[in-house]
Amino acid sequence: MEISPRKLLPAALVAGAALLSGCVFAPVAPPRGFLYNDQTSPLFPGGKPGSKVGKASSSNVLFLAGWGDSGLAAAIRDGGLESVNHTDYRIQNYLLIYQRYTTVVYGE
Amino acid sequence: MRTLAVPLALAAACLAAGCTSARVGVGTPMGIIYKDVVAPMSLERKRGPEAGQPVAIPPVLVDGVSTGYALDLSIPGLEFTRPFSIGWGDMSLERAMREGGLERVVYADGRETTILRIFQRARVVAYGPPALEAEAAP
Repeated sequence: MEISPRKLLPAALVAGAALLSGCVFAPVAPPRGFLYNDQTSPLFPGGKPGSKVGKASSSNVLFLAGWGDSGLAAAIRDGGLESVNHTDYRIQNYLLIYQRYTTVVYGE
Repeated sequence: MRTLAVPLALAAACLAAGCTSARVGVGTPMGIIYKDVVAPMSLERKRGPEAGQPVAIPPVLVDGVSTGYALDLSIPGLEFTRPFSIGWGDMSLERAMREGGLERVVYADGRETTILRIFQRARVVAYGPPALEAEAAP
């Protein structure tokens, strides 16, 4: 069975749009870029900025394999924080091939 | 129409693998073949006059884990195959707190592990001060 790339395109676009639209929740959900995306939004809001920053990331490739530790514990360890003021969440997407989710923790 | 069947089935599989399986916390990177990802789930929220104040990380921190499992042999997109899946376990925060002997939860992460979407495991890892230390404090 031969599959024409022209016929694949609409299905791939629908799949990609669906993949990027509904799988993440956060207090603020920014519009999601299809081919390229690099956005940061609040995760657990707080009232003060922080002088220290801790980051932790997880990734996937082609939606086939996902790995990594983007948890709060890893981010707090990374920043050596003793208190957490607020946290953000960064989502990067490159051509639907590679995606990275980063938890950014701000504190003292 | 037949030529669209393969990519549409793949899309349905992707959606089912990433969005409707047992999941905790913020959405995580997908992995249809393999996935082992930790994501943030909750952070202690100050209320009342302390609202908006920083959340202090206790000097002595312990963790408790609760786990849920699923075996899913259903075919994504085919509703009549949905009965071919079972899920069990207790991945509640309450269980995690009891397992770790926590006084309260300061923050929690969720860990998702899936293999070929058939085996799925979701874990809640709660962090907080130990209950004994809280009782001993004046």
